[in-house]
Amino acid sequence: MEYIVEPTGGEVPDAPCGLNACGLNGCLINVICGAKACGLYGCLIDACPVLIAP
Amino acid sequence: MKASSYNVILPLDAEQAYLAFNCASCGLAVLNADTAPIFQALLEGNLLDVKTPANLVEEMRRGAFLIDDEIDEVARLEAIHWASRFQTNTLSLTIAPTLACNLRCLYCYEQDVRRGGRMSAETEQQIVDFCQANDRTLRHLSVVWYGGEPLLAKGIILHLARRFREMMDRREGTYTSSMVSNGYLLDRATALELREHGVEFVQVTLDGPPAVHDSRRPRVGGRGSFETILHNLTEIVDLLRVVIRVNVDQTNQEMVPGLLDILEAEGLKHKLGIYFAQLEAYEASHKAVAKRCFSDQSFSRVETQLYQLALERGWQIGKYPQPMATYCGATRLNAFVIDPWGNLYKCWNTIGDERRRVGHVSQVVTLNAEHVRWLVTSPFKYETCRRCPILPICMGGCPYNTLVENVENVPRCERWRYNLRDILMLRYEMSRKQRQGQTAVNPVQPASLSR
Repeated sequence: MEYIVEPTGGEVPDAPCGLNACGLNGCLINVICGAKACGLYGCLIDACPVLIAP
Repeated sequence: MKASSYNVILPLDAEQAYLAFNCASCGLAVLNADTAPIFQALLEGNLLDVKTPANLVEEMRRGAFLIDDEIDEVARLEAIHWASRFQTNTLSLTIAPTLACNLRCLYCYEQDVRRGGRMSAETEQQIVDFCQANDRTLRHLSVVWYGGEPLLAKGIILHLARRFREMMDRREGTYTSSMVSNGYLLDRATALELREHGVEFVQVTLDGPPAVHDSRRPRVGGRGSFETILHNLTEIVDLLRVVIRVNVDQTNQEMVPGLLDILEAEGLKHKLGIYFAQLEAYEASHKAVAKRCFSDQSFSRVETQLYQLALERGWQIGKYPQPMATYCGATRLNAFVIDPWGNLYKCWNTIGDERRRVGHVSQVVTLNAEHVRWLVTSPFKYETCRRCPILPICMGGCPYNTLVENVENVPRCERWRYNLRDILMLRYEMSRKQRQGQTAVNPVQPASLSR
């Protein structure tokens, strides 16, 4: 089993901007958060320091 | 342990291998022929019947393919959903310093509200006061500069940006910003100013090669805008992160290759991102373009084809599902759209629409009827959504569609419902190409703003 896109850790992450990543359908997280992007697919989830615990 | 309800398993052509995806974690893994049957057995709970490779169970748990028995995935998602919507450490503002625009896009949904005038100094101050009055827990202020064309009011942007930055510095918080611009005024000097004032990202729309783009997005006087915008892009891509949005409908889908030709010829392929957006006919004057729009299902196919094309030409594909707590900021307590007169709205699509106004920056935010409508709509009210296998990556879809477009006020499914599997396969192909060195890693990943 080899991940080609790493899982987010099983949690639904939140971003410093307060919005969440929704890919390419109108969400702002990718562009306004200012955190470092994970680099592979444009989202900041992997780098996001703000995770909401379940 | 038990299997997640959000697993998606796809067969690959080669050697009985599979792709495994989980909508809650959005991890995507390749299972080879040896691992795939064991993976499946573990999902089915046959833990004792198979010889499990080292770390496989751990890896499956990491990707949320396997979860603890006591976890109620829907309840957990719902808890995260509501907690996220009412957090107050972040204030997200979309600010239109003017609704005036130097283009006359044929599909503009602001046609009924577009007018001259710019934000007054009084309203500027009210916005700053509005931010300062925000909850003491505020740690981050994010702003999207919007319009109209925001660069028609550049001075207001730069002035407000300085105030925002000072305010957040005093709070030892952070301030970030981005912009939706048509790109016509976005020359290098302007980009430098924007960067110095905290703008990190800009979205610019190109709808095809010059003739196509100019027929859809002409200047006020009817002349074209493409050449100037393209020139500007070549001048600024080293200063700002840029993503090109292509609004696609039945009349320009065939023109995308021509646009890619031009961008590639300008050496922009690895310097900016691109994504394809479904042209939609919103209410009022925007309905005039309805007949040229794709249905969700049709566009899902077109979208996949366009990303396939881009991938084949060596572009990076940014399209990939993400887990989300809410679809967007419109349903969050601490997110507002502000028009040039200080009126507050929840959704970009409703700017200037008096019926959708939820308040004013000069006043305390109240829970009036319109505001409450946005704050309580939720996919968890609908059994169809609660049982949906892609709920974590859809979250009921666009709330504007639910609350405004759909007369029955029920959610409209995201396109993932139709093309998730295809997009996952494209992601796999992109990963394979990267490993083979056929695709450069693009420093600018496509992200999107609305519009």
